[in-house]
Amino acid sequence: MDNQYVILVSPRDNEVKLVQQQGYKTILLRKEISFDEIFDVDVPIEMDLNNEEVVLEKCLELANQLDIISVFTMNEYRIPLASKISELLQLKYKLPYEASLYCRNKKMARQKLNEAGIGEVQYRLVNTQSDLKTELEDIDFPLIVKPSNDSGSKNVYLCNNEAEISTAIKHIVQSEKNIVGQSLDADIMIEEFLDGPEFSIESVTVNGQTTIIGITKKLVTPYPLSIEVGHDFPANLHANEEKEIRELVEESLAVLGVDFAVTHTEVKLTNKGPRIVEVNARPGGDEIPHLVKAVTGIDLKSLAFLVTLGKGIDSLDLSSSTVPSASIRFLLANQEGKVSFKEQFQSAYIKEQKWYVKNGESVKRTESNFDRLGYFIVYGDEQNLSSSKVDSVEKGFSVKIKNPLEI
Amino acid sequence: MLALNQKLNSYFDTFFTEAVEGGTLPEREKVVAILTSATLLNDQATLKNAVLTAKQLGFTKEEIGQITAIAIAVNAQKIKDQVEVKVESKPSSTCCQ
Repeated sequence: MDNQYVILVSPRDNEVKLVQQQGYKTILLRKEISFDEIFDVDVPIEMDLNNEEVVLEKCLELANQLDIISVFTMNEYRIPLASKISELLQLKYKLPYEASLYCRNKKMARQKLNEAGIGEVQYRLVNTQSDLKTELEDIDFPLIVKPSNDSGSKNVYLCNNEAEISTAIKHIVQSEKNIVGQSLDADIMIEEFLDGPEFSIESVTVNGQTTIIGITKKLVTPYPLSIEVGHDFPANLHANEEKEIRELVEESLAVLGVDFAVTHTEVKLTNKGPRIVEVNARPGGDEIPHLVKAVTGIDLKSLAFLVTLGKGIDSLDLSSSTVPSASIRFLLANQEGKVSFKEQFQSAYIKEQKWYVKNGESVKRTESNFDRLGYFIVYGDEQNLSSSKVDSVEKGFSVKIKNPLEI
Repeated sequence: MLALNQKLNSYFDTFFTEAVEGGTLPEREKVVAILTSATLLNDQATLKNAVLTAKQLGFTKEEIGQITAIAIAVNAQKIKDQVEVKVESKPSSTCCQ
């Protein structure tokens, strides 16, 4: 293991640490590497990751000199590149490149799932030249309009008529590239609105065998904003609902060809049954791995690396102390103004809290997941679910937004 | 400004490329020279690139640290010499003076 290397493709989390903890050496590929990060890794390489040809050539060159055993990233935008490098280097355990594309591109995933007859969802693909009248002939409003391959709920619109769809398309085509400079798919998706509560399914697939680790309930503000307000783990579902969701996810991952990956699959429970919103070949964001670890003892991020070595849950050091439930709540600004809150508020229930803003700072109204004020995490016990404690804790922080016009 | 004179600029580019990328020194020794000069010139951009190259060539943190230490030491020696005060040794006894 002393001289075995792992290629890290533009990590966005604690990938470097996870790999080093397992005793492997690190090769970091990133467009720009900070001075500190240069010293954190063994082989730092600055390169344009959007130039795939150059990246692949460099990785082949590295593989001729070093013993590379894995390619790893939890960066949503770089997962297909990591898969492509793994295939090029003929690594034994890898997420197939085709599957990585299904997990990045909602259009491709929807097409594949519908073809297989799994949780069928009506959709159309349009571009600026499309005749909307014809496209919308046999599909009912309301409809969701979204880019095929962006992320973070960016540019997702709920539309009630053709005019709104037209406006949404105009907004979407204004962004030609995503935040890492990759071109956005020219096809824009118009999809039936999946009405119902939302869940995410945290799972791991090794050797084609999927294990559902748990189901998280996702709390989202109503459209048009659709901001994630919190998550509860585990979701309190009826046995038959849970069974349906588990089956849908297992079948979907199999059809998409997902393997050697930790996945975070978003599902809506509609009156027609559960439907896939999207499949992500990485652990969920928004501190969901923290909630999962608190309840199950399973560290999804460590697991995400271990699966690239062909290992599963049994290779993890599970946390010995677990709790029955855990919840996270995000604090939002209901209007623009100066924010005040009781930063020092103490409660035995709070396990972690983080503020993205300072007391007294001017904030804008929260309109997306990117301008929330902060969060706190609470654990439940045998008597009380974590979700039953969050309201009293939230009140304790006493978040107030003072509008500049208020006296 | 050198770019204003295309001919001289071109000579410089050739000289630079030959000095830094060509020549007889092995890559490891060239990077030591670049690290040393970038440290002395406090040229952060060149220093970062040199450290990146040094790491890719397998230099350890300690080795990079020592190269920097040598540059700092030589520079400090020069400052030390510039501000040196001449101290004359006094005889321990003045009884015969």
